[in-house]
Amino acid sequence: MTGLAIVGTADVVVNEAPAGTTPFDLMAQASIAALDDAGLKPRDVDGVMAAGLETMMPTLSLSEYLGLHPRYSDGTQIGGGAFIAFLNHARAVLAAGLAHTILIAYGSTQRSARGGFASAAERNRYDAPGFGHVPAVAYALCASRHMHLYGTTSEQLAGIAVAARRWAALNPRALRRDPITVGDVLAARRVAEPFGVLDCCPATDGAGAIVVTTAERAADLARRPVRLLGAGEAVSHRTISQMPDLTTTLATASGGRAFAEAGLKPADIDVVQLYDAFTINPILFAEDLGFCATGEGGAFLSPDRIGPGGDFPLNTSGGGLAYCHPGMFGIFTITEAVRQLRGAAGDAQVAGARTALVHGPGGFMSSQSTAILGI
Amino acid sequence: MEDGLPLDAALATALRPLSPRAAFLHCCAQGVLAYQVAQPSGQVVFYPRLVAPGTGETTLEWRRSRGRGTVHALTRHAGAGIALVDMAEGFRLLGPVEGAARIGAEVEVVFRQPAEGDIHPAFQVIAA
Repeated sequence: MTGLAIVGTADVVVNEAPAGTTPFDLMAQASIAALDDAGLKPRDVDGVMAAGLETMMPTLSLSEYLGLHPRYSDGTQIGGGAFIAFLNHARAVLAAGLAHTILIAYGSTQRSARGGFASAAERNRYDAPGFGHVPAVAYALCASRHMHLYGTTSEQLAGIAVAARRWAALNPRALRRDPITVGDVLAARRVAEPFGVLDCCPATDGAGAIVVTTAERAADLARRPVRLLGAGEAVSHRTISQMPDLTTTLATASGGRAFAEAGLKPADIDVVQLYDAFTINPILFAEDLGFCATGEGGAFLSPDRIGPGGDFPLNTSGGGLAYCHPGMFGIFTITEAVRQLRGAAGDAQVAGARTALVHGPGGFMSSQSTAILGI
Repeated sequence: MEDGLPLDAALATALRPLSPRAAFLHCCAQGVLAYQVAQPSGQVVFYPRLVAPGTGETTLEWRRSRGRGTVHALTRHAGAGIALVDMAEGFRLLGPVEGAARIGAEVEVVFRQPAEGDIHPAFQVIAA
């Protein structure tokens, strides 16, 4: 138990925003909706945390846009899982009294602005020119190694994408709702072996926001708060050629810290959100977080087990593969977990969900961030 | 794991004033795949740096790789094979691989100078 309560959340899900839309347009929309969800106004916010791909100083730009004057800012950029790490940072900020109401926000025009911005990402100049920084290539190298060591199959990878569409079919806001088969995934245009295009998250626009505060302040708000039970983060490398072990991520460490703090074990978790940028990701994370044994993730995460009605409900929004994927998906793992814990997930509701684990990597499996939420 | 070779004296001298990146490229242009060994720990360091990771050592001796390695992980993207290779001296290198590779294949380093950009190592399969 950390003393942090999530009191408001919102997603702005849009495949392609109107021309000229900025990341901050979408981020502000999500922020104001999350504040409204919490019954709060911009003037109540005294801490801002944000990260982006197209944005250099996102906490400043968002604060300017919304007229916020935070006394605490955190723009840590550790990749897609940063928003889960922000929960870890925010609990420390709240405990230290450096802020009492923190807005965590993300927004991107990945799709509508394609080609319109340059990435500021550092590159390893010793990696294959033109390839080492391509996410699909990096994650494909992890997948190739997992397949080599453990016999994980392309069909098992495809099953992750199949299940994502099954969940998305139950989520009216999801952007990729048409059912697909394992055969469809295997026959799709190849991107980076063993991945075809349906093994990879699409690029969409979108935004998400979360409002967190102390448990004491949360008691005065309308919404039943979702509590942060435990959190952990870890960093192992930046570029894929420096990853110590391609088939074991530091989710072992971030997850270990989160479980220890929460006083829970994997079997205690009711619903799981694992950032699925590529179909190999949930397989590695399920192993590293202790939901199954090392090497068994491919068989464990069968579509029937992880899909609707299965006993390991995974990525219940449809995940990055089918819900939306504006470049960094971490914040949407949290907003979906909150929907599930509030019992507000509609047709995708996991009955009686009281605990949720969210996990996201950043970079090329470089950072790992885990949070365990409960109600 | 095998040891690399010392650089010949003239090359070692030429590298002294250069940044790690410039030194590496200087070696590539002479057909030498250079890596570093931190002193006194003996830790193999790649990519080249001014400070050894973990130990913080600031004495990093350049060595010449024998240029042989084993494919550790493999993908294909945009028509090109891309391999992460475990070099025999104990460092890992990502580069394009020429020829039919599989994980576990033995490869040797060749150097390629693209029309634009820096000279870089690539791999050729020597034993599938």
